[in-house]
Amino acid sequence: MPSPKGEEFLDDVLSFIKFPFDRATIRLELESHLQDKFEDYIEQGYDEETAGQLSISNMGDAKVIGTELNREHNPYFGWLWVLTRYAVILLIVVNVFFVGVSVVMSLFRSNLINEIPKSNIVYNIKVDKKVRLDDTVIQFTNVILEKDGQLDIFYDYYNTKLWGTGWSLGNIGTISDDLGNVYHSGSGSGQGGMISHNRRTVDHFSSEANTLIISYDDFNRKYRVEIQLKAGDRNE
Amino acid sequence: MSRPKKIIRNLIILAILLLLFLNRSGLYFSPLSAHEHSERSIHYGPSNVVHVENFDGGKYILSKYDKWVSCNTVNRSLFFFWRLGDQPIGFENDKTKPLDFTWSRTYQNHKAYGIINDNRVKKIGITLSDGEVLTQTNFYDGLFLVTWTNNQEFKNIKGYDSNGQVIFESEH
Repeated sequence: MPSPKGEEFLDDVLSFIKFPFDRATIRLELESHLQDKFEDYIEQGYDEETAGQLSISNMGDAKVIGTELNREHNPYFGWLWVLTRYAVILLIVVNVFFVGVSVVMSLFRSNLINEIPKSNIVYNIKVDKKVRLDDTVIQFTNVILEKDGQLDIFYDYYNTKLWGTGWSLGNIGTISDDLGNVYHSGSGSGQGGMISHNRRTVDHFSSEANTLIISYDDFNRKYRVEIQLKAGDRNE
Repeated sequence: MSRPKKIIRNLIILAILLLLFLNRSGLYFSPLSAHEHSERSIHYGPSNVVHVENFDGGKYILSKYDKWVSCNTVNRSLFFFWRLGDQPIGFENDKTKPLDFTWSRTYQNHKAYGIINDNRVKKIGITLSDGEVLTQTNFYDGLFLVTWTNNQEFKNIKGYDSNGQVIFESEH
């Protein structure tokens, strides 16, 4: 702990330091130097008051030291460093919220297939058909025919560029079968996320159909997926 | 590590975090970038932009793509950025009509846009539900755009020739 004169000297030096975040560190360092010098003079046999005065005068001129230290602790670099550090912390928090939450949520999503009671299933066909629309990859995973004639088409999709959020995939195409039936009524649902799990249902699907046809033809984009039916596990 | 090096390190981390944030929050640096992402993500286009017009909080982007005509919107967000608006998909041009068009509204912003198929059409007139007539003589590569914000509904559209004669009229 410096003497009152030592404190005055330190305050004088620190008044030249324009970057406030460094003042505490500089003060500690100068205090340490001052203390070392003070102890040296005590060892040489000086009394405390004289040792204190000598150690202060030995440190040099407060203005010269302060100006030099201010140059070393450049306030522009200092502020830039502090601002970028807080900006990094802020953006980490924001990204955890925007990215982390959606990733965590996607881990805890229930499987849409489990929403169908097993006793209702006539057959469940596992599918591995992939198509691409621009940057979107659509993977058909399961086709389930229910006892009431509802056909459920399960598919996942994701964007290969991983850039931007964009519109969700609202239309997978026209649903028909090998008997010439075209199915318009039904519904769709999805879970969103980076890999979106979805279900498209079709009402009154023919139990006699051997092939499910999903054909997309919009705005110069086309694909056609044919899925063989009646090959799945019956009455799962 | 010296302070300048720490600053450079922080700036690099900031750039990466900012890009990640923009990516996941659907923000874009320019209106046209938002427009292009909007079209591509809905599997439409890329269209040829023929006219961009401001509205309060965003821009209308009038475009042609193959046989379709669209007027996408993008909205300003967080002062510097842009995000997707609505209606990126256009209508199919019926070339048998002297002009083909559509109209819509989003909140208080109304728009009617379309394409001139008959070169004799030199002026568009749109009548609103309160009787006000909005006219447009500026065509952009054959496309036109008329906007209004006074909450009146679209009533009809007329196409006039150079003599002011109506050569097309439709309420739908």
